[in-house]
Amino acid sequence: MNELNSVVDSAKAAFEQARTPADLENAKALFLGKSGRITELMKGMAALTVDEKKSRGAAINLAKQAIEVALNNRRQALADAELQAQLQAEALDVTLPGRQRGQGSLHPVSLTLERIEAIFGSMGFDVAQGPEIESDWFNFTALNTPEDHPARSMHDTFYVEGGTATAPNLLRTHSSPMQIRYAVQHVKRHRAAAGVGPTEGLFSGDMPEIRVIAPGRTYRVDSDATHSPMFHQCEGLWVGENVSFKDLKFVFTDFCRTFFESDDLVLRFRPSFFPFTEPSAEIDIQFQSGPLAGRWLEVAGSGQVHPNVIRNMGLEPEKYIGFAFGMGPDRLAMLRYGVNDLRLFFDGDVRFLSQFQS
Amino acid sequence: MQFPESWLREFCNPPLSTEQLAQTLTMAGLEVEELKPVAPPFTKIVVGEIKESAQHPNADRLHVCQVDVGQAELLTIVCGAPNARVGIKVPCALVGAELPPGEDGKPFLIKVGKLRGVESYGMLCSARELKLSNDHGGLLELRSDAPLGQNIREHLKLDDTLFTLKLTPNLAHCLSVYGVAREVAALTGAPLMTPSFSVVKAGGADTLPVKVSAPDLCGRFSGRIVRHVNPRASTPDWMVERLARCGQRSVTALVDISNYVMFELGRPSHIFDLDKIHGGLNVRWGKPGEQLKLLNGNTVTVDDQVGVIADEAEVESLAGIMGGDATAVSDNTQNIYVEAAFWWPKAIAGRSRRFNFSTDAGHRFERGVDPSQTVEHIERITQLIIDICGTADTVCGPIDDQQVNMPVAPPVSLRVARACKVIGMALTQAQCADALTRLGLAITQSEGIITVAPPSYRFDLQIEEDLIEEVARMVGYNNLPSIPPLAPITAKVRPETQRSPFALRRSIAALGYQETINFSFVEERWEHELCANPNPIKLLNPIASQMSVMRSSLLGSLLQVLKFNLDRKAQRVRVFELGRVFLRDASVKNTDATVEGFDQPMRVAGLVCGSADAVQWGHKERPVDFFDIKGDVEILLAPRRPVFESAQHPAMHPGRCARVMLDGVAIGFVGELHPKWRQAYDLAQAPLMFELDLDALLQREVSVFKGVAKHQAVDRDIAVMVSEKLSSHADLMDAIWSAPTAGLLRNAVLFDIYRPKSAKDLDAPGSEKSYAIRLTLNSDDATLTEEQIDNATQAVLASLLSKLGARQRT
Repeated sequence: MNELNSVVDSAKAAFEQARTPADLENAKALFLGKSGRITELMKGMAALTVDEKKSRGAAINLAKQAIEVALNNRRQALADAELQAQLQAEALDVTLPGRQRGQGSLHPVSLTLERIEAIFGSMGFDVAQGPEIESDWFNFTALNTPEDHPARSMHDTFYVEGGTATAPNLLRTHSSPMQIRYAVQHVKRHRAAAGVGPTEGLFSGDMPEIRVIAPGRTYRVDSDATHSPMFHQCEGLWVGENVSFKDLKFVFTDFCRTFFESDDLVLRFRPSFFPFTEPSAEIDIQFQSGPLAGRWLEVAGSGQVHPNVIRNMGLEPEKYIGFAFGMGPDRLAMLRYGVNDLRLFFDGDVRFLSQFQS
Repeated sequence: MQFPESWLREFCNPPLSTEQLAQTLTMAGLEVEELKPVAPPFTKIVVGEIKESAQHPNADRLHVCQVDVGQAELLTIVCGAPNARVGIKVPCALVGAELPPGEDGKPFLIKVGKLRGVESYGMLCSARELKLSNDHGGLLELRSDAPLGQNIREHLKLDDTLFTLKLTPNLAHCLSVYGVAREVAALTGAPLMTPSFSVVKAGGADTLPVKVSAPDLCGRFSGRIVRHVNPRASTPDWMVERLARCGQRSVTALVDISNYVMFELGRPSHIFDLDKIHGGLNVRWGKPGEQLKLLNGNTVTVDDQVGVIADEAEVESLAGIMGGDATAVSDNTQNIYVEAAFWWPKAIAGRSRRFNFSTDAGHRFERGVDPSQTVEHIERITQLIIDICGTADTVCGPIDDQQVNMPVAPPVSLRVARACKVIGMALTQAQCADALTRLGLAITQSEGIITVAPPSYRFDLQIEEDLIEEVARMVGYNNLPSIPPLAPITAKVRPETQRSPFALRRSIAALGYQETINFSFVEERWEHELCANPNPIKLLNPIASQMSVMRSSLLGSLLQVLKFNLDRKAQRVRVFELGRVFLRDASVKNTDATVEGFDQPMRVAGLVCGSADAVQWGHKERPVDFFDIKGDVEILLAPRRPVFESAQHPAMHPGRCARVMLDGVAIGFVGELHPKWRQAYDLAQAPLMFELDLDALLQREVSVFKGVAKHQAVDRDIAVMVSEKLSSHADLMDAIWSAPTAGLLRNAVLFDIYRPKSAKDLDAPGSEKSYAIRLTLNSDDATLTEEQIDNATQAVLASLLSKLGARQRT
């Protein structure tokens, strides 16, 4: 039996010495091959008796199995080592940066307008857009601001060729012309649906409410650290049969607190004057914390739509009332993102713009 | 409007602090824009008199003064002021005094100190050292009757605050100290001191003939002659000081008196030099071409829209706005004519703006000045003239008062129910009546209705809403209930076929572009050069020449942004903008949505310059090129498939510019900046740009399901040689897709272009390139057979041969 043991031992030793699968296969041939030691031992049994064959054969088989186990173990070990080497060779420096596609960004005023639209959209407001070269009628007269009204001097207007000699075209000085344009379109559509002809006076039939915001660019002859000759405004208009001044206050307060995500934001409505609203209010906000805490900041003008304006929309003011507001998204963007100079918005400096990833 | 708090409190003095008073005004619609103390804080500065002044022994410029501050002993004070002479009274800071804070915000403390060897027990002060003015002429000289030792703050009434109000155009009745006081009384209930006007006794019947020819201009004209006044009398200090605190410098006594009454009562008036008036006065509309030299030295030419006061020779005054130079009072004036009139607001509104100036009088008249008290106010002015400029011979004529067209203010009614509905608050009739009564309005009541007779000084009470506003203002906007509105709920969602502009912005940003917002007015040169627009839409009053025309393209603005950033050493710039452009279009009419003559569509434009990718280890750096930006355009339009055709654009390289077509409609351009503009704009690298109609990018189609192929597709690669000059990719694809493949061809992608090394000279006749194309074939019915695949592939090759002369590469 010692002989068999030593065959197994020498096989194990030979396998251990094999450094590659090929070496291992060569070593295997020495023991399990056609002329290997096990085969030779088998051949040597021819001269034995049946009983001897039986016991001798069993012993050789045990030895053969032991060699096969050793072979498989070694095969596995070599395969493991090879895989290990391969994995090591394939290892990456995972700290290298990923391939960059480069991410741009939206303008902070766009981000602001997007949120304004989302908030008012959730309250059922449509969004309307309109011309920026505007006629005197829509910018002033239809808004109860006839020629030579002192309120016109509150707007330093850019004039554009065209229009008439006394009422030249202009760049809209506010987003309020869209009140008229949107409402007129709305009323025309619904008075036609109600079967009321276009010449039959002011409309007092039923129609869906007008609920709309109109964000966009506006222009005034003004340029310094806090004024840009082009700036943004967002108009809001809600006209229905029972839309009151307290509704204005509630809706705008809700908007501001949602926009600034601050439930303790304080709003102040104070009486003011706009030709196209009455009663009118200037809206100020006050933060309770942060760098601007405690200061009153003007964010919007607002009020109940003046009956003359309701008439210019084609509606009967005894039936339809409502509110309008105009706010400054540039200002809101400055407050929201902590921008301290309005001019940065219009310089196009990519070092500034790229700060507003979202 | 600016005025001192002390003056206001003479008329109405509610038990409120300065800040509370300001808050009350602001919350009532009289916005207090600024509160400014008349003087900064300082202490222990008193009236002192210089009793002796001796030359400082050790300094040429210093004096050693003995100063009497009302104490037992004189104080020795060293002073360097040039006017430090014996006998004058000046502010004297005692030892322990704190002077106004300097730039560090800390008060300056006065101590006993040695100045070049002489001990000084205080400091004599200039107006500038007390921060009362910038006058550095020397010590502030006080009145000779100033009581020695009196606190200077008390003596000069420095514990006062300047109120600056930003008054909206409806608040004409608040354009005076008395007017504001009247409002304060209504708001606080504090009593209002109503001025009374004593009647000056007229001597004789001396009047100036005045004819009011234009009652639509002038509703009331009142005036009086005053003879033998002293125009050189000096204005009393109290009046000079009040005027100064209203922001009005002192001119001459007569002018000061007129101004003073305007600030006090809101009544602009004018004083003519009587002896310079030719004959009588005529109040009329101007005649075109008439000229007038104004008090401010300007000469204006009037027309029939502008009201004037003329005499028999010429125009002497711009009605309600400014007097003329010829009849202005001067040091030699002896006799005067004092005028106070009611000018119709509509006749004055906007007139001074036409002449490009504004005056306090015009500002008030165009908003409305009380027509009712011209005579009383002339009495007030006359009394002041007599007090200040009077002489032993002064004599007044009677007041000539012509009421030719007085405004009638019809009563206005308020329905309590309507007020409740508009304000959104359950108010009782009593509450409404109380609010209106507090404002001093005369009311009558019936069931549910309150009727107001508007007082003559209120030009803003004409309709029911005007009263509703007054009620809301008096109730206080702070007291509006906080109840959410009730409103019908209807679904309002953007159609699926319409992408939001914000979704588009995010797609563009995802491609690495930064959004910019640029001015709509640009330099005219850009329009000529980049848009070949010879006649851009001009602003009539541009703010600067580089912002003088409306842009018809966004590209110029993006080029400017590029330049701005390159100047700041940016290596790689990718920017875009969504904005409106402005085009002349005679076919556009005035409608609910458009303005005649102008098409104002929204566009989106992008610009890239620099390397294709940000510098990084994983990409080889290469400059961005046409196909990068074209790929971006394709991504933005996907899944819609635009067609790009070679085109010309004034801003773009003629060989590297494509018109973008979508469903046969041109929607914009993509291309490289023309080399000549690259040079002209001094750019080292050529930027690539696109500009597209926004609407085209927002339109989408709702996807419709098509069956998924049941069988495996087969790919076949082919390579063909084509002439370098003859074909474009579009031609290649046309040839491939026109091949009769029995519907088996599903996709064809060019995946390589190869030019044999021998074909370096692309212009050489016969030079060729090789296109490698992967064809994808499939059938809906069954797995493709080799024969089908072969036939389809051969059909494509045959088509390429016949259409383009392309032969298969071997």
